Amino acid sequence: MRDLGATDLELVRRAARGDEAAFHEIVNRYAKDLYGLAYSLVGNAADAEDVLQETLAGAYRSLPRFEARSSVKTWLTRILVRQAARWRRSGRVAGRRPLSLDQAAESGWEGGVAEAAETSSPAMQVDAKVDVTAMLETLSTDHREILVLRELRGLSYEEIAQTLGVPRGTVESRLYRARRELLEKWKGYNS
Amino acid sequence: MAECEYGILVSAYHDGQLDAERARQVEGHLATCPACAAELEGLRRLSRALAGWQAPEMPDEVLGRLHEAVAGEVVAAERGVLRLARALSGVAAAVMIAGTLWLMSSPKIDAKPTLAADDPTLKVALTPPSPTTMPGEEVASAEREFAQLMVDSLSKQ
Repeated sequence: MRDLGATDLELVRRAARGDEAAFHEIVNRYAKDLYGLAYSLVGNAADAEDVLQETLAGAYRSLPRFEARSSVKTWLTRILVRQAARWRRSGRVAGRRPLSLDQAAESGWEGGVAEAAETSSPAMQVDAKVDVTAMLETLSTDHREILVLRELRGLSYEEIAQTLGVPRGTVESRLYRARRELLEKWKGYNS
Repeated sequence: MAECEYGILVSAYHDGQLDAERARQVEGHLATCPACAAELEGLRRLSRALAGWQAPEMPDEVLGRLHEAVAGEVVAAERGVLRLARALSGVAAAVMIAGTLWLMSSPKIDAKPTLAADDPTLKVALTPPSPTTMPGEEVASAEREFAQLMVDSLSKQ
């Protein structure tokens, strides 16, 4: 039976004391959202599930060290982002190395196609066949994850800083560089 | 596109992450810098393109597998605790045995008897055996030997 009344913090504390059902409730609450994030970071369903499993296993082992300095959601997100980065660096993700734009355009992502941006500006015409999110595959792990957190997940700079464990200034500069890189690739592909 | 020193601020402005004063500063700059104005427009297009994307919904069967994986992790953790408990109790037992052996083999600090002179135990210990079956001198000698034996024995406690 699900415990819908307990707060996330209460569930984590109970789980840390050995209440297995409490941790299962945490899984029920966050699995779908975390799956979407994992998918955004690794680009396919199989790897997303594997990354999410590793994330939840890591979270369970870390329960005694959770100090409630961030929300449970941020804590889980942080574990997942690190797990996805480790996954990518280990080469276990299907697109282990950043793809070229042509490769990304051909392979695409398994699902989800962004609507084409308007093409009124000659300088920024978008090839409707190119899945813009596939271009994320061409970026480095750091640039990809910060763009996913900001553009796809809508996290604030403070939340991103907490998730990545970096200062806010680093979030600003890293996001700026990631966007520049993606814009240049996007423009270069379409020119 | 040429970089302008305001580039990072334009990016943060696009995200609405600047305080009011810095936002005004950027707006003033945008009015005079075509490169930054074009950069901002590019960021808006990029965000619109990315916003249209959504990750696929997690299939229901994945949730079941996640719960199974968590249950496996719980079992593994419990086994780990049991192994640790066994290891610790083994260490504790070894420490106790070693400590006992050390105490038994270490030299006595005080060899003097701990009984007071008028202690009834000492009196009983020094009470000689009945002399009825032994000749006089032998009885005295036996008594002395017995007494010395008891004193020596008590001294070792």
